[in-house]
Amino acid sequence: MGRVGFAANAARLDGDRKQVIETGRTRLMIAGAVFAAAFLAVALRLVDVALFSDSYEPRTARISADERMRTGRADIVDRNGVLLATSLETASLYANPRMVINPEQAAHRLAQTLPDVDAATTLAKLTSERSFVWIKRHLTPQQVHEVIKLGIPGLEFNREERRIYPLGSLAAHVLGYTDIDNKGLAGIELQHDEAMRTRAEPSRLSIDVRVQHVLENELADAIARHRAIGGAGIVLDADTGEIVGMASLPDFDPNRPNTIVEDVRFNRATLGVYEMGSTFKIFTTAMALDSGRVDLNGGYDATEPIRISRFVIRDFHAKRRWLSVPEIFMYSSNIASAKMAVDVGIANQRAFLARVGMLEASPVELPEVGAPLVPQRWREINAMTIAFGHGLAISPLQLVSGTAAIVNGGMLHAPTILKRDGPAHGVRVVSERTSERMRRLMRLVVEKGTGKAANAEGYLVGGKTGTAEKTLGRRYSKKALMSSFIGAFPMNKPRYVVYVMLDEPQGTKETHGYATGGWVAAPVVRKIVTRIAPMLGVAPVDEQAREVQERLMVNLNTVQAGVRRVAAH
Amino acid sequence: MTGLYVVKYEVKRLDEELARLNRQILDDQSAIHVLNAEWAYLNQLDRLEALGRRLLALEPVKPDRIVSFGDLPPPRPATAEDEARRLATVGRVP
Repeated sequence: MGRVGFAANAARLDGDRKQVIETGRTRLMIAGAVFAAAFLAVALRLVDVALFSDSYEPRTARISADERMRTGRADIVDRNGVLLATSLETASLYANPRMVINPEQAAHRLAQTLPDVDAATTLAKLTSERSFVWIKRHLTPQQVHEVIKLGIPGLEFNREERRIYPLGSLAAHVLGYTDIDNKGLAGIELQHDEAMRTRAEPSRLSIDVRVQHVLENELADAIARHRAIGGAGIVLDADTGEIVGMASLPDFDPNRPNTIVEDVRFNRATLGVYEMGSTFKIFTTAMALDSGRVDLNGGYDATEPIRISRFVIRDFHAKRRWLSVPEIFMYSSNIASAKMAVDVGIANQRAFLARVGMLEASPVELPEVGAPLVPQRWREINAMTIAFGHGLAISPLQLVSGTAAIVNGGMLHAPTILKRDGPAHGVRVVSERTSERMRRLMRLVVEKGTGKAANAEGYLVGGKTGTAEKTLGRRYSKKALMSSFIGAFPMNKPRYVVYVMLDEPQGTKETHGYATGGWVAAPVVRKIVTRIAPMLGVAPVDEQAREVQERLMVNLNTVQAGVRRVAAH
Repeated sequence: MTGLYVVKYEVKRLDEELARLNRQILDDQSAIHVLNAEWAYLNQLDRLEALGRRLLALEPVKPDRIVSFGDLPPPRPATAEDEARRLATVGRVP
């Protein structure tokens, strides 16, 4: 009974217990589910973190992998890739004056450690109220080390870029220079300032450093010998318009921009505009031949000087007779050239000169480009004087690029300071035939005329001398000359045009006191051509060889309608 | 789970290695850059010219020293004797 009672009791108990267990189980299930959910969340997060978290550690690595080496301002290289300008990292020293404990001592010790740091000015800086003052920009690694050794609190270094021109003053006027914050101030540095800041690839110039060196070297030598105040030289690729060398002296060291004064910054080759003198007769003669008004056999009377209004046009090497076109060019007759221009016509002359780029600033990619001085009214007197290079002032680069067009077969190419990638597109300015005849005339000048000193043997130099009197105030000066020679080589198929100009040269004993283009500038061209031709791959030829002579000879009929003599034999 | 951790730490280690190598590449590039500038500096044409004058017996090329292949005399036709001599040097003559 009791047993039954117990059983019944147990059954009742079982009911209670069962309920409790049920409750417990439910709770466990809930807790278990919560935990399971939590663990699942943790696991998911773990997978997420381990597999899909781009945004944590790997970032630094990715950035340095993607980012290429940036040196700030892009390099400048020559046509063969020789480094002309680059940027190096340097440290600049600055101070936070509020953190400097002992300004007097700090200023004293800095002045002792660093050259050109003055104790007094540094003290003034260190005691100022500002929280940032430059002490010295662009320290060498050695100086950085020494300043760190001083252990002065409040001094900090800032990593900066500094523009370096490893070749010093070479091609200084082409390169230009930058200020202390690497902003371009002149030359290609100014022209390409924006591009060089943003792009990484270097600016590739058309300059060849070897040619540039020879050009500067020989020009400097001539300036010293003739005590000239300056000079300019250009070597231009006649077929592409690329400037292979361009120099203006005196020059400067772009590594030290604070030492550059106005006088040396002036680029005589592109910014200076000058009355060119007789070299301009290249255009007058080409124009006359191209117009068909006169032939190589034709000529003009140069017996009497021309009197027009209050001017008298005379010849320097006066022959006082009728002159054939080759003679006019060879003896550089002003009288006959003036007649030639009038014969062609004033309007035609103006149009022709505009076509060969004489009336507009050169399109070269440099900020320092001088606009030509063109007469406002182009009257007969202007036409006459311009015919022999007076009354129209142009930059040497204009003369060189125009001459290249005359000798290269008649195609004018815009001169460029940047290396050309594709073929050059030119504009025809004179016919192939005129160009061919001009080559003969220019060769004649070097073979027999005023430019004999330019004859670099084997390289068939042809050209034209020029001597212009500089204007001082409103008068021409007999003493101050601009003596120049423009040549091209090899004349049977011109590849390069070479120009040399000396500003106010003095005659020497070797030149018998003469300071004209034929005496002072032509020999410089000979030396330059002899040195650069092997570098540029121009092979020398035997100048006496028959086929060479035939291509370049000129009929020099010295008598009007008279017996013709062959000049080149 | 453990595998994931192992992979994760391996990847992290490789990332660090990558970052280190990238840093090293940058350092090397910057060193190359400086050395290029120095190379250009040492190749200053004035300097080379002066050194050449002082240390080498060379001088600017004169036009008459440049000849092309066309200027060379035409090769003499080989004679039987030449041929025998040539073969002798090669060691084919028994």
